[in-house]
Amino acid sequence: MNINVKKIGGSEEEYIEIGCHVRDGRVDDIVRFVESLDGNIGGMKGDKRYAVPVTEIFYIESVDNRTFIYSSKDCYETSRKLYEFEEVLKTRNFLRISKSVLLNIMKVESIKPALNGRFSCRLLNGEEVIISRKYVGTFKEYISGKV
Amino acid sequence: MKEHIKDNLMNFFIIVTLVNIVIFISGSLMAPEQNLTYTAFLVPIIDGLLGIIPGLVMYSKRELTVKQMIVREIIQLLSIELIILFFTFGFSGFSAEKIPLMITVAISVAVVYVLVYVIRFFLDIRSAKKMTDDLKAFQASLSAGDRQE
Repeated sequence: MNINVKKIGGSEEEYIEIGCHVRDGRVDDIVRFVESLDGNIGGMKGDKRYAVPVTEIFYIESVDNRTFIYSSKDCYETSRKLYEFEEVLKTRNFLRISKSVLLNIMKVESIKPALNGRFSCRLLNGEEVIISRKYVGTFKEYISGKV
Repeated sequence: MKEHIKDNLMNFFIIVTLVNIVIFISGSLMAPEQNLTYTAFLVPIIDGLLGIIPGLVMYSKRELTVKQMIVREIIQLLSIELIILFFTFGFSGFSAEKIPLMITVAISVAVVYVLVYVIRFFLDIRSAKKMTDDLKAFQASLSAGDRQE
């Protein structure tokens, strides 16, 4: 595979173009990687594909082997697994708060106790997500800057 | 697992303190003239250990739903009641005249069980407040550009 990098003028919009014989999983991986570097994550809503800006994502949830991206009002489905997002988004203040939820810390408004040593995060859009006991310690360390 | 052991250790100390208070109150009301020996100091510690056994045995790595959690708490309370009643009365033998005392002990166990949760909840409220404060400071520092988002 040849890789060409071309400098363009400041007035032009930056772009990446991939020339391929077939659009397969390998190409999709490159597209997803570039999107996440660019601050967007691809997600499906109905039949349409959207590039969701990372800064607009509230949390990402895995339900029955399917992964959903939640923004303030919308929900998008993605083919990527939660652990992949955890890896890509760990430098962007996303933190695992339970087995199935990856939370954008910047979208949390307040925290209150829930049942049995768990905590509930109230998000800026009014939704609530649970920090399970196993992840409470990591969450505390992260927000207090110890990680 | 580490968190679970820490939780049970905290429960142990809360139970020991509460059992001391229960012995003081029930003893003052029901047998104010009773003289206790030094072994009486062991009762809260033994009750504390017995009280955390079901929690240690029923530990699960699975994240339980609220319904599963409530069922587990009920089973745990019943187990503690049985263990404490057995250790308190089982060795000297059960008899009809001990029934009022057994009911008192059973109620005391239930009260301590609930109080442990109430105390833990108040500790969690304090913890949640600190977490919210830390979170606000964290978010503010990022917004100010101290840390790369």
